[in-house]
Amino acid sequence: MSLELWRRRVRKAPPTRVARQVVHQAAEIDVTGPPVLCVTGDRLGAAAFAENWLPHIAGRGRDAYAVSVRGQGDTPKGDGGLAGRVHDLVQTAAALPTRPVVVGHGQGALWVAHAMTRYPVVAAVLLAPRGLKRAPAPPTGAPRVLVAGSPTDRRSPAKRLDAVAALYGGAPLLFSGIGHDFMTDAGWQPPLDALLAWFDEG
Amino acid sequence: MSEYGVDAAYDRGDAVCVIGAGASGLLAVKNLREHGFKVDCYERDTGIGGGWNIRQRNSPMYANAHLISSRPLTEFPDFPMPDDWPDYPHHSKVLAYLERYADHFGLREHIWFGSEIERIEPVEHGRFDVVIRSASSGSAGRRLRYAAVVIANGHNWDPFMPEYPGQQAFRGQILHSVSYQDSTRFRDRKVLVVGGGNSGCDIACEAAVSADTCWHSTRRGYWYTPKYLFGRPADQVDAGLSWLPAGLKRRLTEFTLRRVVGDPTRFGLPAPDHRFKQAHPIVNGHVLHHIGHGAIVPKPDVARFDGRSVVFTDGTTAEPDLVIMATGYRPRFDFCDPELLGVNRDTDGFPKLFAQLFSPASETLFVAGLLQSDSGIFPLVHWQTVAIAKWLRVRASDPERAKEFRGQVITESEGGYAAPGMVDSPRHRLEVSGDRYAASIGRIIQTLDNGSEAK
Repeated sequence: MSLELWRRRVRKAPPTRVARQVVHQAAEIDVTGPPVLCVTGDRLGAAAFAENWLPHIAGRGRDAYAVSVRGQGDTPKGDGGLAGRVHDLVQTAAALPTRPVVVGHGQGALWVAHAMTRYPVVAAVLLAPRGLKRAPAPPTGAPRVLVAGSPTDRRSPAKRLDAVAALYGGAPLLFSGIGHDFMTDAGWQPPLDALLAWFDEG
Repeated sequence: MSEYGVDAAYDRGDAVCVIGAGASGLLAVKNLREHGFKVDCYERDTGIGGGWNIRQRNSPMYANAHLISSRPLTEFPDFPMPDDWPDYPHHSKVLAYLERYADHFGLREHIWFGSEIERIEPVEHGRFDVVIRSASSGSAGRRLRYAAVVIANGHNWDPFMPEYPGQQAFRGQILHSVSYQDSTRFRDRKVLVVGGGNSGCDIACEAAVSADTCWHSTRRGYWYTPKYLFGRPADQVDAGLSWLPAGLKRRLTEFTLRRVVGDPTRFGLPAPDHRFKQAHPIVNGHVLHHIGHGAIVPKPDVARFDGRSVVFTDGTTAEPDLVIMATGYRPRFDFCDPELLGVNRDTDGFPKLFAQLFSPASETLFVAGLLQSDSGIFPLVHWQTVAIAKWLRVRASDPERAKEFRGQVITESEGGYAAPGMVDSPRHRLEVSGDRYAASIGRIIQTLDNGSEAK
């Protein structure tokens, strides 16, 4: 993280605290790697991951967490706009026992991209990213970053995926046969397994 | 690590030695590791936290010590404190924060507890031999060789005790604030607190509510900044005005404090003899309140002790049972040749480092956290340790570039970091303006980044 970024941030009033909804599912077997923290731009928030993703991640030996940032799920609205949501995400990550890998879905990818500039995640997946036109600033702590999505997702089209992946110096990982809805679509499992395999490589 | 003794050094290759596992040491371990270095950290105590761990011998903490800079301006830039903590957390929370930091980043496995540093000695190629002995058994030392050494042994543990005439023969009890833990020892006693720093003010406020009588002796007038202005942490209000030109910002702050806090001379205190931020700020909204209750009786500097009584420079006297000397601490580096740290006759025993960080005598020796600041100190030490890690990287990969860089650091240091007109006293020898210092370390980091990108 750049020092200038930090100086600019602390000159502004910090976002007001809201009580955040964090859903946790403990690893079901011996822990195989850092915890996974998930966030989506969907209004459902953490609940979007509760049915399929969190149990599956826990079954693979990782503590699984999902957070609803302000205005999502059971987390009340708060001030700060984008800065407020990024604050909620960074606060949740820093409160975990160890550094997590992070998955940001949709607009959540934008928040992850911002959070990475001031908190050293182990690795991050920007899944079907939305709203991410420029890389906010280089991530701190040199994490591995993967951009992934679906060529048939009109809300995060392939061209956008290429552009975002280029920001982080890579090519996107594409999953066919699924739309924007990676968490509840019938075909949710193969992409998630691929992401977990990518985490395991690190 | 197998057989090795004091004579033959066990070579740790590119590893860096960090001395101390307080806040500064932990920051050094984490940031060096993040930049790919192996790190061995040695800590005399059995736990982390340094001075923030009240159980450690010579911890400067006392029961009611709270942060004087607010949470967002105190936390590490890349590891926030929980936002449901209060604006000014208690010292025990700061220790809990350091414990969480150590766990979160897996730092403990790199720390050797119960290990004291006996000597550090420069050897060839900028490397250092470090002699380590067990803090408890005092058993013979081990000698290890490192690529670099970061000293982070703190500067608030070796008490500075002034000497007033007649002090030895004083019939009451005299204690340094380092031995003060809580107000139970004030019950039914008359207490004199000497020293106008933040500890002195906090301890006087404790004596105000628990002692029979409390006198508070201060040498000069201060700006007493309350913890809150307009319902917000005062340092956040201050940070929010950073866009103003410095002179205008100071005038505005002084005007506000005069209006909100009032005229200290009305309370029997001297008027400040310096402009705002030309002395380490006192963040305490209670001193004046207790003076208003008559629970603290302000006094000027002590002139001498006389049997049972203390005579002040204005000729008045007091007869305390207990005198607390809240007269601060001095940095101390017994394990290191003073010349390595630029200590000479002119520096009054204080190190003189480039950018208050780099040894003037060695390219691979650093002191992290040897600062006092008008703002939170943790973030400054974070950036210091980032600069150390980046510098060691550049030095390893591009020695030519490293030489150029050293020239820049020397230039950066020449202006000094204190606010213009800073009060000249030993207490302010380590004082920097947080803004100026952060800007300077920022320029250093930027140069190092450009250096590594150019490759």
